[in-house]
Amino acid sequence: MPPQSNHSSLTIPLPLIALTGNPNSGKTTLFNSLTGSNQKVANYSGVTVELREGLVRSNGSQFRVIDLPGLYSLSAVSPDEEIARDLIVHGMGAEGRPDLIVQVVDGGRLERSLLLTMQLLEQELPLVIALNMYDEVQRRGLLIDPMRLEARLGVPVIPTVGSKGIGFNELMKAVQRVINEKRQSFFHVKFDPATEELLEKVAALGNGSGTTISRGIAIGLVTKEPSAVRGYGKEILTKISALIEDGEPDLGGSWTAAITHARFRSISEILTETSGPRTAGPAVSNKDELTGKLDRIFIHRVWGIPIFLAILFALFQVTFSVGAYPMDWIDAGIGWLGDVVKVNIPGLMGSVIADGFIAGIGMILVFLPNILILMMGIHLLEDSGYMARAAFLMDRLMRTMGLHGRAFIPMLMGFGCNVPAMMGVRVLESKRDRVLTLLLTPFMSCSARLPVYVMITAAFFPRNGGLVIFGLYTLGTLAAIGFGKLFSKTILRGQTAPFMLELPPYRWPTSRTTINLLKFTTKTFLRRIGWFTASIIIVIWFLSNFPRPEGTGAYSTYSKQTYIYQMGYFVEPVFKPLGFTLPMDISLLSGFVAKEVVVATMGVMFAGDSEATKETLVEQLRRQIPGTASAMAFLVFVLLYTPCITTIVTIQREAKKWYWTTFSIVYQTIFAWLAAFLTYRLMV
Amino acid sequence: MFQLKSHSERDRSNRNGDLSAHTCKCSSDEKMLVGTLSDVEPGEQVQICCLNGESRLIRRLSEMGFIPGTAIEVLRRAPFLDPIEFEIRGYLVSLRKQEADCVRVKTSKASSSHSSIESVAIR
Repeated sequence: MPPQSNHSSLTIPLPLIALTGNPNSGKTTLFNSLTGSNQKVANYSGVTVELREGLVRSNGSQFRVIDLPGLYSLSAVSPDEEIARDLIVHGMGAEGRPDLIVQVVDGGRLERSLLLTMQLLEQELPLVIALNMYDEVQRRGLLIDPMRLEARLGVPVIPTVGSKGIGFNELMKAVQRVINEKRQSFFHVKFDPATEELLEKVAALGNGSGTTISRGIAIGLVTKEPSAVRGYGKEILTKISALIEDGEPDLGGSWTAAITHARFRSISEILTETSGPRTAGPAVSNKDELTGKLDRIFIHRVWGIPIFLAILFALFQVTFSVGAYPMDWIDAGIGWLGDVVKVNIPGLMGSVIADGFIAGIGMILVFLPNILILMMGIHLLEDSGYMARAAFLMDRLMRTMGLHGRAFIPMLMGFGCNVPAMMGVRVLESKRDRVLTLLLTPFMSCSARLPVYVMITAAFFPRNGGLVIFGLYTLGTLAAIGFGKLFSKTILRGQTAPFMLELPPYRWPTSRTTINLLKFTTKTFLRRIGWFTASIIIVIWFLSNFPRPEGTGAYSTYSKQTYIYQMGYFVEPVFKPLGFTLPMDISLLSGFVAKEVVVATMGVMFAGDSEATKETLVEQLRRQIPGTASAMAFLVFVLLYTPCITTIVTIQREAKKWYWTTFSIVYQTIFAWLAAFLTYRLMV
Repeated sequence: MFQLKSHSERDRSNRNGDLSAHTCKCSSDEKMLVGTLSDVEPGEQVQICCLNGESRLIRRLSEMGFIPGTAIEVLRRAPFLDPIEFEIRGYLVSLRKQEADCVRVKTSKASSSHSSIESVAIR
């Protein structure tokens, strides 16, 4: 079934529903189940995180649903929370505020979730609550009565089970009803008299100066919420500050504290009234027994880390060993297709299509199996609740390089392939952590660099090849740690959110969400990364094959006229201090496409003379590289400079800022040059 | 003795016009023992007394339900002793030692003869 045409969405805008809720409330699962495959990446100006938008049809009406980043409170502390908050409070650019908010609430952690509900109600936006994971609520025997909760809060409270699609029909009916009736809740938290008086005074200030200050905004101004303060002039803010300084809440302390306390007191009352005495009050523990038992194993002080390493090893094996089979099939398929084209379309045209287009696209497609398997693995860890445990275990270690514990898995996966590893940074909640991980991951020596190490060590360090390769991996890891420390003290300093890692209950992952994720990953990878990279590869292929002399001959006879050869001449002086020769320079240039081609380029491109064709690759390398010092410097350079075009495009895609992409290329190349120079000087 | 640190912090934050950080009024007396959350041994249950630290952190902690009077249980420490896992208001959360230090807690002497906080209060 085709989604609605663009035309109709332009003429009659569909109601926009924003899905919000605490992290781990099952929000994204609910979103996936609601929208099915009708999803796309939403484009809003100035929004730097990936927001997904989908289309929901229900009872003859259509809605656009947008999945906002998870947040605990409207007073955001991390950049991603700020985005979610701004979209709710101020709207999305030209789009305006959403027509309705659906707050997804984890029924098992109702008390804490209701804080956000209180804040959303203060914003005076139409609200519907999805009381999610209701099956768990029933199984654990928690006393929550949705009807009474609904009556008390004045907004629909619909029990749902996101993973099974239970309650969706009722949810969408409630959404429709609230939109039609433009219903607002009458509920608001009653603060202590002093706070209430202050809020009234602040609202009165607005009336005096001709602006309306709603209760929600007044609360924002009193608590000095940056997003609320932003829209007001200095004059009115000074007056408000004076009011704030003047008084003190009835119980003492700060206004912010008084307001939060009042909200929690109100939540306590609501829970007591609507669910009977058993679940109310902070002292009652409604522990999840299974989670307690599993945690005793998975985050055990001694066994926790071995178990974690075993899980990682399995993930690594599956990703890169099992993934190798489909990779071979794709490789073979592409090769076959290229041959077919060459046979049927002779001459230059055939070569352009086969060696340029088809081979270029093939170089992208081969990444796909690895990416899909890894993303699925990470998704299962995330969905089951284990990812938070892994972060808990590794946080202390990762902190030494200025990163969150969650960054460990993407970084480690970089040893397999940097591209899926970089796509894995999405598990990180803050933008700052994502950027830092993207900048550091290229130092994880990926498996494509290994053939280069193997060939060159075979030619120059036949006795201690293993040691040299181990040294390279260590050097890369140390570089990542060093730069991690450096960046978190300089360019990425002070942007970290307080570390509050929630450990959600263990749950079975759902296949529906997994399949959706895989579809979505494939689509975005091919569309956003694939096409762009493939075109760059084709350009580079063109540079290394043109201009050609009249008539075609063997590769080597015309290679010296190509553009890339000329570029090699151009950069030769730059690499001279590292002891590199022209063939090495050119192979490094081609290495920007992919590390696999570095050795091949050197071998093929300069096997010019006829006797050279009898040489083995090792012999060719010995002829092209002047000595062990040059060889070692070359290895260091290959380890440290930009891994490949696909990683560059992935950084751009994930960091969404061209300056980070440029910075990544520049600092890595400069560092590679310096390290290679030092290596060469020490060894000569 | 706990007042000393909090006073200087309040002075600094007040100059910045920051109202979230405020004086911690908890102190040890005959009935209560006071320490920070990071000093509590796993398995102990204590009560939150007050929050003391950077305003953004205090705001977030209180919005997560870290409100004076709330019961909190220390479950375990990570293998490298940091972060620490807690149970509060029916959910599990972990804080780094640095953040846990901002939460002042109390326990009654009677109910915790084996309490490790005792040493902290005396320190």
